[in-house]
Amino acid sequence: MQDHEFHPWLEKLILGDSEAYRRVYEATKDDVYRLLLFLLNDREDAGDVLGEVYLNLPRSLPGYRTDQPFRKWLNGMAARQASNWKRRLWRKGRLFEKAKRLAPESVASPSEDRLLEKELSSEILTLVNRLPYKLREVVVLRHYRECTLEEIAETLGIPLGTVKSRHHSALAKLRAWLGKDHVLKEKMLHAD
Amino acid sequence: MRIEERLTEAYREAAGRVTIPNGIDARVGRRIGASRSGGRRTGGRRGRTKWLVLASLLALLVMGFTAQYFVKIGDGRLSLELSVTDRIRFDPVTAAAVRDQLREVKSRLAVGEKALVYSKEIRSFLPEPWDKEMHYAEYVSNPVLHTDAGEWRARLASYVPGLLLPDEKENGLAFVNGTDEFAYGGVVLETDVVKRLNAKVEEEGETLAWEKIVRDEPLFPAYTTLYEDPAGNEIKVTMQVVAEKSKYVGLSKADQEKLVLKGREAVFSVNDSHYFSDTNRYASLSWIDSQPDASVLYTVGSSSPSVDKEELVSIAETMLEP
Repeated sequence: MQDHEFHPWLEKLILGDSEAYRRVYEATKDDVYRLLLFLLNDREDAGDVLGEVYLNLPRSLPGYRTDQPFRKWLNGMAARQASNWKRRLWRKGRLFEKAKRLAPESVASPSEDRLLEKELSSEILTLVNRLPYKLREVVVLRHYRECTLEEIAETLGIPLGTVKSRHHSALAKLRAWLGKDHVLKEKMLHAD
Repeated sequence: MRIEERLTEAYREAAGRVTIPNGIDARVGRRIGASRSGGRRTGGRRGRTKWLVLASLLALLVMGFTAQYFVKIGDGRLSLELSVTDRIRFDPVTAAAVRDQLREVKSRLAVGEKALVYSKEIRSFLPEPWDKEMHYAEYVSNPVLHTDAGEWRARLASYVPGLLLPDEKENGLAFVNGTDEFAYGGVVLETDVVKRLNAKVEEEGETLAWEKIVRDEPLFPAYTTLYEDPAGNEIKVTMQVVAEKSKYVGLSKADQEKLVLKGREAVFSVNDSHYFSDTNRYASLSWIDSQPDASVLYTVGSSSPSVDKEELVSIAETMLEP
């Protein structure tokens, strides 16, 4: 669906038209899910947040200006939801820190893990997932969604200077890690 | 290859490999269905009582102000506590100036946009002594107006469990429009924005400070239907759906009276210091409807001086089962 084709459906969606809901969901869910998976690095969480995004869509739509590309606006909303989700997990994590230490490790499905590994099978993306979430979200929006730094600042509701510094810091860490990996591999090659 | 290019290329390749798991459509569908029927939200707030000060005056902090008396209604999930104090300052001229300021900001918002507003005039209504560490702002929005009565009713039915509507024929009410908002004002949550606005007025000397806000998640959903009675007076019916344990606290100069509406506890309130209302008055009748997964706070109100308690009670009674 082209961007201008969304507009009549969006008007109906605000009024609670279920057919409009279905059409907009079908046309955008793949895109939103990919973004969430790259941000959260967890298929289960990505699925949960996908539900939150579409649950909140009818009430958030009045804030959408029709001169904006709809998909980009929706991706911005998904990024904010992912960020809220991470914050909630962090709070929960603090509350249940003690319980977690006592409880057995949760066992993820091996096939799910393998699938995620296959989907993100790239040395550099593996390193991105080692970045703190605040740095990772800037990298994903900049290099996956190809947003400008100004757009990222607007999407995440943070100052442009903060986006620049997070982006700079993320790339510096990745460069350093890539360099270390390179040295490590060189050492292994010459170990014999 | 530069690291930036490597990242972009890696994401392009990975995006082609990502597949949506089976069953996710059903999962999203269930999530939406559960929420629309008033089900609990997943997330970190479960099990914790929310303290929410009612929209309108004093939306942020009321602690430290002694109430003369209060009335309270509630069920196991939602409690509504309306405190009365004479320490709220009010004068009609300043109230009119505040309304002009709110209208001015609203006129600069596109449909669907929201903002927080602060000014010296708004400041003048806050009770004394006002702690400098306590921050305050008013909420204003330019909401989407739903003008098709049938579509609005269908929309309400999807968001409000056990929806109760007034009998329009019996009360001679004419539907005007519906909005996803409180009758007046709204809940203020953006503390950082409020602090910035307060600083602009208190420290930088600005007359009127305002800032647009964006909310993806309506944490306190409210729906207001506007009707006209046969005499042309406005009647507003507001519904707030509360799925988690919550306590709503209102602080005002209003006269409050507890009464029973077809076997349910209700609160009738007349506020003659209501600075959102063009008449400075807002009379309302509130009660709680307990549904299995959510409580709904209903408020029937009017700013028209000629709408009295009997008329509000009569409208409310047509909404309730005998």
